[in-house]
Amino acid sequence: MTSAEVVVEPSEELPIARVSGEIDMANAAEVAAQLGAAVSNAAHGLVVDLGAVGYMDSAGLRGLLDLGVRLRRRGQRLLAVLPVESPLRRVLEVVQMDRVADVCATEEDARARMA
Amino acid sequence: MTDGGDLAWPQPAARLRALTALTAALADALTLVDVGEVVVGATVTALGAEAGTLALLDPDGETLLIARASTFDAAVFGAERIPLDTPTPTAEAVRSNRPVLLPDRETVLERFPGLAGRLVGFHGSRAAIPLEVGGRAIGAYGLTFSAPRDFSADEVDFMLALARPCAQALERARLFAAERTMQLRLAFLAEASRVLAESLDGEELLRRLTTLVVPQLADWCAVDLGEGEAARRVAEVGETDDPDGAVVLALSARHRRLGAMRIAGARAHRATVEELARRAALALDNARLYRQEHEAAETLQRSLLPSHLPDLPGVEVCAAYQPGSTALEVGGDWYDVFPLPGGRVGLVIGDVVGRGLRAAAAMGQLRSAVRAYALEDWAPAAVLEHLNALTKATDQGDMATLIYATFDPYSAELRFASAGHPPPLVVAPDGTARFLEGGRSVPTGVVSDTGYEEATTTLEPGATLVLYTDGLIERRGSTLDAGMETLARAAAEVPSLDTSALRDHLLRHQPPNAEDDVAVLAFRPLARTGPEFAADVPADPTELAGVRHRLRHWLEEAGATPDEVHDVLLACGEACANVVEHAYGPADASFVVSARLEGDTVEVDVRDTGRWRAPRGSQRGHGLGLMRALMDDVAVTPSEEGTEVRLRRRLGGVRV
Repeated sequence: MTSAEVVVEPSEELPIARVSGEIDMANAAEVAAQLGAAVSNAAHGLVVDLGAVGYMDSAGLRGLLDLGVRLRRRGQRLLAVLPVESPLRRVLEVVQMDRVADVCATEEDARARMA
Repeated sequence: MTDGGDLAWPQPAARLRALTALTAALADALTLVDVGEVVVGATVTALGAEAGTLALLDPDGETLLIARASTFDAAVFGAERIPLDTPTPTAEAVRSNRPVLLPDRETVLERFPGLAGRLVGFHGSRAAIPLEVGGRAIGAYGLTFSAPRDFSADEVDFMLALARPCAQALERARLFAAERTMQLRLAFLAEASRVLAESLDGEELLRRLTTLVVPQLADWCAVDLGEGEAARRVAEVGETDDPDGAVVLALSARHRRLGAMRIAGARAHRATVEELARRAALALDNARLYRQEHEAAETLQRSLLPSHLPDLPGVEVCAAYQPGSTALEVGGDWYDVFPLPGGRVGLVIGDVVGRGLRAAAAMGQLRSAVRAYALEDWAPAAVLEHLNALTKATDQGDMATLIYATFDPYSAELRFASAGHPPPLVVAPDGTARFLEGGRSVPTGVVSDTGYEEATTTLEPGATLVLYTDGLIERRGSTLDAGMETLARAAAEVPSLDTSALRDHLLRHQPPNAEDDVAVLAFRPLARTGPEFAADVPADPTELAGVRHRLRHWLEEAGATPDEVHDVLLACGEACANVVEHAYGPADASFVVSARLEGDTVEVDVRDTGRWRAPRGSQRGHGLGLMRALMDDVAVTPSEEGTEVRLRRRLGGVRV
């Protein structure tokens, strides 16, 4: 069974959700739900740190893309953190994640971008 | 006048005998030396003289060649040369073309005072009779008698009668000698031209030139290339004590001074040597021009051939081009290898008829055209048909033979069509060699609207396909069949060599006298290596992680890098997810994931027993997009039994 963990660092303005493990069609919906719940109406956006994700297929990507679209409609931003050397970077490019999210190399970059 | 009447002059019958004998002897004498001996000997004998001389006018008209003989000595001809204006009786006879008759010592001294020193103890008489041909003296014969002699008109007539056949024989011998000299000179120059034409290597040509000159024409010969400080001695033969005193002949052609030939101890006419130098210079300049075009053609040829072959997954391929060893034998041979859609490979070998720059240029056009048609994914026969139509339409007129083949690594099928090209050779892993005779039609550029045949065969992993041009099988004085047999034997000797070693082995087995250029291409699908991965997976989302982990382990064992592992797992995961997502009925209860290494390429199959459904919705569409983005090749093959998705990815870090 595929397993992933989402740990949220709450914040009024910019909460950070750190995801680890693997995401595929078996748990993608659940991960997406946890991420969606981490954003309050008052927040400017959500940082999703994918640095510890070993595997994410198109189901997981779909969850992130949907989240990005939802946040944008609410005037909030989705910031995806992924080290430049991660193989997932290319995957985000293929699905054009940058249309709905800022892809940052580190959490600091993400915070700086919102400052 | 001194009375010489008591001396026995031949009587009429004896005179006639003497004349007849002389004529007969002259008929047998061919060379000047022979004729000279007969003349001197016969006149001395016939007239009872003590000694005789023969003077022959040199072709220069100013010198006399003198032969002397006494009744006791054999004639020695040509030993002495004197100027025509020397005051001697024979020279005077030639000059005046009249008999010079000197009855006694006093008369000799009176007319030729300069001879006084040579007349000590001489008390006889002398006579010199001109040898006349066509109203002109070509020489004279002289006689010395031991006693004074009063030459009667009758006697003078006899001496003139003897002179006539002598003169004719001498003239004939002289013409014969001149003709012989001319023949020898022409024969020599013809031989020289032949020898000079045999090589197009300038220095080799000059070395041959010197061996022609020495010893036939001279004792020593040296050739320098270049002028002044830059002059360089490239050949020297023979010996001389005085190289500085040698005759120097310029080697010039087309208004360019190329060097100089030096000759010492020359035996030939200067004209012969000059003509030789002229021909050598021309041959040398031709060699230079040939080399220039040869080099230009070779450069063009190489620039038009692929600088390197593509690195294709699961196959090994190498090729080589070798220009002809001599002359302008750079031609239109070419080869090409390129990837085609669906993981297939396109292979080309060809030969434009003709040589030199033109053929090389035509080759470049054909190579581009074949590529263009091939990449439109026409079948081999269709590519040749298009190429033929193009050649005829553009009226290039360049005939070419070629083979275009496609290889599908999935099915191991080789499809090929040959336009009059020598048949491909296939060497099985066990060394069995066979020629692929099928799929043959006429060369391109010959007939419009030619239909081209196509043939297929299976090329199992480890077997080698050898494509080549005729230079590899043509052997002077032998049939093409024999050349092909030799090639097959050579290839069969070393089936286990890698393709580049095999190629080199075949080139080494080329006929040693091969002058044609050669292109050879060796292609081999690699055997699948390592254990296969196989998993029978229930069509359930919760099963995906398990198969992923097992495949990850297998990929790591196979030497894939972390990035490669990630990409293959994700592409495979997408294929699996698609199966699971569409699993509706009992027939879809499970599916199969298998993977194998083919050379350095990993190949993953995901096979289900249902029908492939086009991904639904825009998001699901990312699955196929990801597969395509991450893999080198993605092939979806639906069939009655189910759907197979085949993913291929070249591994960079693989340990083969």
